[in-house]
Amino acid sequence: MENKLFQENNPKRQKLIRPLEETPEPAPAPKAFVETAGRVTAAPEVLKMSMVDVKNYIKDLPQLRACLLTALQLELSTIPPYLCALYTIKDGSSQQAAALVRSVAVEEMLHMVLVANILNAITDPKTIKEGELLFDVKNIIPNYPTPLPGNIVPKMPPGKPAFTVNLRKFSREAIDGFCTIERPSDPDESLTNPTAFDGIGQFYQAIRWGLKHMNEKAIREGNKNGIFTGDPKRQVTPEHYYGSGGKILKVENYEDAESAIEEIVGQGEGIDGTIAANEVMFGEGIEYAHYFKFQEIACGRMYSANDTNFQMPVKSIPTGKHFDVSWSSVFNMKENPKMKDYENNPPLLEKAKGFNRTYVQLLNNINRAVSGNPELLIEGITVMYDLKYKALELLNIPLGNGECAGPTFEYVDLL
Amino acid sequence: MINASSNVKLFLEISAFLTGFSETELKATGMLETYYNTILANTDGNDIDYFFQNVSDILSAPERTDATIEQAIAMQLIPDSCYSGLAKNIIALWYTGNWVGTVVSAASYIQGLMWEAGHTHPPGAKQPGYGSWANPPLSIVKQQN
Repeated sequence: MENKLFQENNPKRQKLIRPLEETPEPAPAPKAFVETAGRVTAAPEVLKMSMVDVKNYIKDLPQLRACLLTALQLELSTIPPYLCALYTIKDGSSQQAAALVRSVAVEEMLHMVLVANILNAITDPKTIKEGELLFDVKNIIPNYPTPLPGNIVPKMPPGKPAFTVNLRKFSREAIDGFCTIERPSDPDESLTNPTAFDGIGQFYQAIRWGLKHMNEKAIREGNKNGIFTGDPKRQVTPEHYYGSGGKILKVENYEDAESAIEEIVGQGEGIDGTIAANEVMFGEGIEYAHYFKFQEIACGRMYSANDTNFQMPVKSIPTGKHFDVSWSSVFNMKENPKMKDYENNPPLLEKAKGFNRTYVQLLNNINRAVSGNPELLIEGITVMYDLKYKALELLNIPLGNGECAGPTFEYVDLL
Repeated sequence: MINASSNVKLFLEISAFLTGFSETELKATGMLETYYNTILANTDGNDIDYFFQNVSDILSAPERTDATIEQAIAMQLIPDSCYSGLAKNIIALWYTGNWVGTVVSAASYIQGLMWEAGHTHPPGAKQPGYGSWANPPLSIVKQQN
């Protein structure tokens, strides 16, 4: 049985996330280390960020807000790489792969908005200055190649350099990178870096615990609504968003925030090793998480109903229907292009700036939308389309060395 | 003997003068090779050879300026009697994606410069998004910071 790839609004999808458990973790060593701080103990040979450290990572409300801003940046930093892969697929080729990449890119935009909703939900309107925006567009735009924000350091095979996010044409290398970004965290896997998260899922896990702990603390201190004192008018709600890729959730309390994170992490990594325990199998009405969509592209095969993911680290290979992926019918975009690469060609530089102005305009629009003007999000859709057309124009311009120009996704001042 | 790659280059250069769009803008349509092949396939060989010879002379004339080039184009290329009206056909080709009334390809329809020039989009392609008709085109709205 082949399963349907895109299942929007499937309530079962969120079952992919394991509930937060207050019970002791199976790997208590670092906990003992933390709790016996006064005692002189030899440090473990490799100090790992275990689930316990993740649980206590966020200490106070300002840190929680900072982490949510980082999460916003994290979601944003993955969108340009996905768009580069999508745009460089030539019209008519690799259609299945293009549809998969597109669905992921759209969901990342949704994630940005969900993170903004959580952040707004825990921000007391009295602390917001008149006209203050949720984030700073100029500083949130990453400079590619970039490490993942939020001190997320995915494990790389021995001998490979540290992971960076790159703007690349659609290629095996690009898809490999995407798989690394979205790779499910293994809760039992030891970390080589004592202070880093091993994946996006683990970072969001820390945020989940932070939300829970801060909220419980606020309630204990007599705040009826806990930390959820935000202005409901700053929430982006489903009527402000259309298209595809999951759903917008209004965040007004802890449970809403939990659901929003489940939506984000469920779409991203999907499975944290619990899939076998829950006896959830591929094809049983679950939308594929991003990691598995990229695995399908890498293998040129869809998952079939009988495919499962029984072990960590993820080794699941799709065994379903083949589909064609052309790695050659692709615009040969220069890797991580920059405006300064185009300085010797002023008309090209102007086009690249034009693209970046549209990009900045789009981010400004999103920023205003999540800063109390959610109705603006609909207007932003025109700009999103325009962004694509401007990117395609750049890709048509040869650089004379066999490569072509591409969108640089850099900050520029608007005219 | 003029070789093909230099003719493509001449075609691009003269197209920029003929259309008023920069060479980079024209390349960005992705239609350069298609259009070059279109004129080769549909124009008398002598017309092509003499046309490119003439274009080469105009573009490499000593002490040329944009004004002298435009004047030479008006005198030597635009009249219907010159090269069976090739220059005018080239303008129509870039703007409409049509060669003498026949659409060249699906892509040429989408890439016609007339859509850009009119701040609009080809119906059925390059959709600007739901509700966009309620607002002025992005290309004429000043981008706000």
